[in-house]
Order: sequence, then C-alpha cells, then structure tokens
Amino acid sequence: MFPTLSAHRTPAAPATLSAGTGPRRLLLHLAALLLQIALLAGFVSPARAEVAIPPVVDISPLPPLGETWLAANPYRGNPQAVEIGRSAYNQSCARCHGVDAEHQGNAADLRRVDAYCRRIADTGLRAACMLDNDAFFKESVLHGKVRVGVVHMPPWEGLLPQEVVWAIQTFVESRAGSVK
Amino acid sequence: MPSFPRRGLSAAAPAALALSLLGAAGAAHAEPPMVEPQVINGCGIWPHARCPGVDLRHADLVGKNLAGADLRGANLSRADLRGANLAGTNLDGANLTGARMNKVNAPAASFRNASLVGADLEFARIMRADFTGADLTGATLEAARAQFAWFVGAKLISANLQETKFVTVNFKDAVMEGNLIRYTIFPDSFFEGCQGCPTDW
Repeated sequence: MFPTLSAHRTPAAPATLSAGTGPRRLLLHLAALLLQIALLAGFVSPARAEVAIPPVVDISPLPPLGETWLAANPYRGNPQAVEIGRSAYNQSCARCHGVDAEHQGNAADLRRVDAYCRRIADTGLRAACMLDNDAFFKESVLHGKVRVGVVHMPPWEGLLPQEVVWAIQTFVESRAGSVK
Repeated sequence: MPSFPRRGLSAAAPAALALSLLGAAGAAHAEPPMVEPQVINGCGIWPHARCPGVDLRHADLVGKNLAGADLRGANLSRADLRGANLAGTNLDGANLTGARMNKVNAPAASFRNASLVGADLEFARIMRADFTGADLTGATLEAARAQFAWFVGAKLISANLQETKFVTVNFKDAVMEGNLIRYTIFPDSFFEGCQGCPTDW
C-alpha cells in the first residue's frame, strides 16, 4: 500500500510535550496526540472520500427507458428533462461541479463536456462524436473518477436510473451558453 | 538617431487602441471556429473517442485533443503525439513503442501495462498518471513533470530521466537500471520493493 499523503506528511509526534507550561497546554497536546493516532489508525479520514447520495426527483413525466442502458441520450430537446435534470444535478452534483453547472473549484466544467462535438460542421461526424460523448458521460457517472488510488468522484452505478443520468446530461448541455 | 513621425503616431494611436479594444470585445463573444476532425481506421480523433484496439501506427496526432478517450490496447507505435492532449485518456495495454510524445499533456492518464519502449516523453505533463506495469525501456522522460504518478512494477531501464520531476511518486516494485538521472529529483517518493531505485539522488 502506497502511504497516503496524510500518513506521509504528518509531522512525527507533534505533541512531544516540550512546552510543559500548565495543565491546559498539556491537555491540548494530549488531544492533538490522540487525533494524530486516530488519523494514522484510519478512524478519521482527513480528506473524506466523496460519497454518492442519490437525488430525490420525480421522473414520471419522462418517457421510461427500462433497465438496459441506451447508447445515446434520448431526452435532448425535452424541456421537462432539463428541469428534472436541474433538480437532480443541484442535489447530487452541484457540490463539486457548481450550482446550475456554473463552474467552480476543481471539478470539471460540465458545460464544456460536448464542446468539441458542437464545433464539428459535418452532421454525420458530429453525431458520431456525440455518441462517444454520451458513452463517456454515462461511464463517468456510473464508475466515477478514481485516479492512482484517489477517489475524485464516487461511482453512481446502482444509485441512479438511466432516466436521471440522461436528464442531468440534458440539463448540463442546456447550460453550454452560459460559459463565459 | 532616426526621427519618428511623432505627430502621426500620436494621432493614430487612440484610433488603433479603440479598434483593438473593439476587436477584443468582439473576439470574447465570437463562436469558436468549426472543425473538421480526422477519422483514422474508424477512430474519430476527438475528446472522449471510443477507439479500443485501434491501429494508429505512424499516425500524425500532433496537438490533437484525445482527452478522456478510450485507447485501451491501441497500437500507437511510432505515432506522433507531440503536444497532444491526453488528459485522463485510457491507454492501458496500448503499444506506444517509439511514439513521439514530447510536451504531451497527460495528467491522470492511464498507461497500465502499456509499452512505452523508446517513447519520447520529453517535457511531458504526466502528473497523477498511472504507469503501473508499463515498460519504459529506453524511453525519454527528460524534464517531465510526474508529480503523484504511479510507476508500480514499471520497468525504467536505460531511460533518460534527466531533470525528471518524480515528486511523491510511487515506485513500488519498480525496476530501475542504467538510467540517466542527472538532476532528477525524487522528493517524497516511495521505493518499497523497487530494484535499483536511487538512494543517493
């Protein structure tokens, strides 16, 4: 196991009781020492892994799609999908990707996910690009983003029906015009 | 000393400035230009492309955007990927023998069990990239930035690692032998089980 950053970078024994000035100071040192032990033992994770919490949305207005995943997003141009997608997105995705897909922080700017495809003049090639893009979006949601052992995005497989995933993508694409 | 037409310049400057500002304002709202992407052996050269196992030998992919693409098991022998965008691209098991990858942008890309024999990754951005089980025999990683990358069980033999930045890199069970490590740095790196990893860099 590759040592985690926390274990690697944690200064060894900061509570060496070098100060020794009064009981309050001693207590603080003791608390710090206990925290260090808890961290090293893995009881408390200093950088919590992202947890997938599914949104609560009513998908009954959307055409049902069944269990088998479609290759392409069937909801493009459906205004109800945009609204349901907005609600689901803001409940489950906005914390990292920004409210209403307004980019913030380190997570990807989802309004740009299909940016290259949109610039393809040839309609056939653009459709092929969008098909690849839909697969990429779906795979990213289902399997999350784990890179060299770090969970940047949790997997959502089993938590989101495909109606919600495609609705979220439809909403995100509707926000492309807000990219500055 | 040459004399400048001061009066003409001073009169023209505000107009030029106004024009350039107008141009800048216009450019900020302009739509990006349309593109005509290449398709090679059925593989669309665009971000998120799904091309596992595709034959891209000798392909000219200079500066192409293949971010997030699925190129697992693809044959990219002697492909020219200089300055290409491979951010998050999956190249697990790919053949990159002799590939030109100078200044490639490949943060968080995955090269697990890929062959990078003789590949040139000079000045590559490979932070958080995963080279687990990869073969980098004779490769060049000169001045590449490899922060947080993994080389678990990777082969780094006869490679040019001059000025490579191996910061917080995982070399568990890697094999290193006969590399050029002039000015190479390994701060906070992990060497457990590594054969031939430097101890006195």
